[in-house]
Amino acid sequence: MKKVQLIGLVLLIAMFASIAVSCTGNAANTKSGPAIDYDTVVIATADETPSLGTATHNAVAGDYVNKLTHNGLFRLDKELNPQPDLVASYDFDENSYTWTFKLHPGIKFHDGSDLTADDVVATLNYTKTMPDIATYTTSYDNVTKVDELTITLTTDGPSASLLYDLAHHGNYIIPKELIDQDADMSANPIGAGPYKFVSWDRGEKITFVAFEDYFDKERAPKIKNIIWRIIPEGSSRTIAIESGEVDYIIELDSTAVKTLDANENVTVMKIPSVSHNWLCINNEVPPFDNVNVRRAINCAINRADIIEVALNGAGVPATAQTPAGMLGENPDNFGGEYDVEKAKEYMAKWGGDPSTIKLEMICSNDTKRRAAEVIQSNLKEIGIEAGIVSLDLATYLSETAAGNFTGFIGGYTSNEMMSFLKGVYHSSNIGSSNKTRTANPEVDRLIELASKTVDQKEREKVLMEVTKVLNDNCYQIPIYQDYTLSVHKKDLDNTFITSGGTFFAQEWSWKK
Amino acid sequence: MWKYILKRIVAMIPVLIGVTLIVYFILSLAPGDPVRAMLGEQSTPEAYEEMREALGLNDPVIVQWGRYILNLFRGDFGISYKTKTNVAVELAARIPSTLTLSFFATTIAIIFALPLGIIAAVKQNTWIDGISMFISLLGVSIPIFWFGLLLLQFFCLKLGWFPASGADTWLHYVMPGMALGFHCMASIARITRSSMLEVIRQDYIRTARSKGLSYNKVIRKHALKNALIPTITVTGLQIGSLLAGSVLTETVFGIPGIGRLMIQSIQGLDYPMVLGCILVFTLMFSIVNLIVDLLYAFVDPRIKAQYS
Repeated sequence: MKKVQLIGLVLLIAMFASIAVSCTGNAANTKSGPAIDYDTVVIATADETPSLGTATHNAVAGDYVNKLTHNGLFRLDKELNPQPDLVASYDFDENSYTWTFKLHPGIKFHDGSDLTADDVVATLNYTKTMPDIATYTTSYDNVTKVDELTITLTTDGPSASLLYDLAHHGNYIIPKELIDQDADMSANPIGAGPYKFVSWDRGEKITFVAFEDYFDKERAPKIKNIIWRIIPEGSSRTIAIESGEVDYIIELDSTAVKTLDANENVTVMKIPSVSHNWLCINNEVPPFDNVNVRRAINCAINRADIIEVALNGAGVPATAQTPAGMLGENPDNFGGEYDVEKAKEYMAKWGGDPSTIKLEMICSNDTKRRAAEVIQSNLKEIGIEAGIVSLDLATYLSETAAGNFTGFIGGYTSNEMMSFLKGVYHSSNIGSSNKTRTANPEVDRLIELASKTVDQKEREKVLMEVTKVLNDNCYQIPIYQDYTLSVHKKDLDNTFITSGGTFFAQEWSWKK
Repeated sequence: MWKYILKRIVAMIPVLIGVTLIVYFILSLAPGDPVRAMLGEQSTPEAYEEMREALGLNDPVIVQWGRYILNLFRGDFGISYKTKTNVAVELAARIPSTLTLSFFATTIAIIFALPLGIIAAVKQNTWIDGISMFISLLGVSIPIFWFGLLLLQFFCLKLGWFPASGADTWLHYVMPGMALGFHCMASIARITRSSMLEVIRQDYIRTARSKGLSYNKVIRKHALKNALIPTITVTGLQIGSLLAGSVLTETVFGIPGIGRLMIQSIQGLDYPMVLGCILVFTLMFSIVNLIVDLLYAFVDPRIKAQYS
């Protein structure tokens, strides 16, 4: 009898094993899924927007959907430069620091009403009261209506960041009537964008339909419906596109790239992002207040290994204290080439005992932890015994903002250099986003000078100078800029992602 | 009976208040700052302070809890820190998905567990018993998360029978129901087997057989009914653990349920939403326990007599 029992067990194990093995096979053996609906595109994303309103969040997931339903006075183009959107023309008076914006005539909101200067004035005054987007509403003041299609606003001196701020979703234009009614902007997301909101099944999907009266006929939507599907688990998203259930995945797991690269039904897009990731070290804690210690760490870490281990190769090594791909990038004197001997020289210049250095690297996810493990082994070569601490995101954010750390693996994403510099290195942001706790008056002065330099060529020079000062001081240890990874069905055309991770769904079309 | 039910329902109120108190204090002791989680790294210090004040987070914890309870008695579950929407509205949108998933999982678990347990007991120490218990062991041992992905790979990607994610139709609930139900099934099958083994050795079973009743009839009419009490208890407990399991299943299969909402809310330290989710889970668990107690009465007339 025991023999029969054993045979039964073996058969069952064989059955489970065969299912498991068949599941790891070639993607070409899989079902091709439902046929393409040329009127619809289904986008899968990991995170659900906290709100469909524009001024009540500062979430990337919300920015994506706000771009469908709303417009700003300006928008960022494919090279991340601000371009007029609702604005037809604009002018800047250098004496009074007054900007005059003239709107396109005949712009309609989704409810059929006209978008006028009243709506712009009401919106920009309303957004200044919203704490979630406060960073993007400080550059302007005194918003005034001149006529039905003209407004003016003033800035505190020349402002290079104003147009970027006006392109942020927080400043997208909403009807005055809704503001006056104190309406729930999330339940009633009325804008003038290329797509109209249809429904939101919370936690599952959001549906949009093309807005037929969209003012910019050249950029009018080509696909009628967009279904925005929330699939939190990376493997499930990959399976969904392999089975044909979704057409586009915004955030592709780096672990799935190899499998999907081999799948002839889909196209994987790998765009180096402007997201700058680093080992941040607390410059107020000895011996990290010594530039030689920081430089030693900077050249002791092997960035190529980190990218391979943490990102499965989906990234490029950082080349400066500020991101590559932005106006003002400058790799001069970065000193980040992997060179253990040079690192030991820096340690000798410092003169202390490396084994006494206490560096605890806080990590808030697996990618960061894998990066920290490589750094840990790299630092061992110069005698530093570093530790790794895992914390949840919320704790990580509050502990690092409060300065309760020696080191952490983190990053910062911004679409333009000035807000990056202001956020990461300006002393006014110590206690929030300036986590190295850098307080260098020269850096502050140059950042402020750049933000007041309207001429792009001149501004670039100043920005390069700031980066040079930052490189000289090596305030933190930049590691990599990861790829923005997305995937879509190969028949979806005109897909493009900026280095900021933005895409333009209204430009997509199906190859028929 | 009705008096008993009413008494049990009233008894749930202090349980719910107690739960909110415990959870509120645990959340306040947890490291991390909800405002920092909400505003992210790019917020200004002024905006941060303004938001903390506006949410009342600078008040002592006991004051915050008292305010929450008072609002709760008015039917106000609070406003989510993250979505700025009414927590009750958000919960109402998610409860149907979790209930549907629980229904599918429980049904699948019971449909497979009872025959498996009974057959294993009746055919004790045979290869059938071995296989039944091996399947049960697999159910307990295999992580729900991994099993869910395996089902997705096989039934969605290879066979194309079921959709990979979402909650639009009943088809969307089959695979998550299987993943969650398989886990539950194991425990129910094992308790059914041991309970049946105990019952079929009783004298009254032997008496029934000696009276000439067929073996099948004795098992169905006499043994099963008496073996059901422990099975009902374990099934009730399993529905509780099933609610916990729904956290993982909802994540893998993209089901917009309470479990997933709770995890996201915990990660974002969205206190009102976490409390709302836990209140719903507590309420569901209390109701399941009440139903289990009432079911005893239907299965065992002696218990029914105690109620009346």
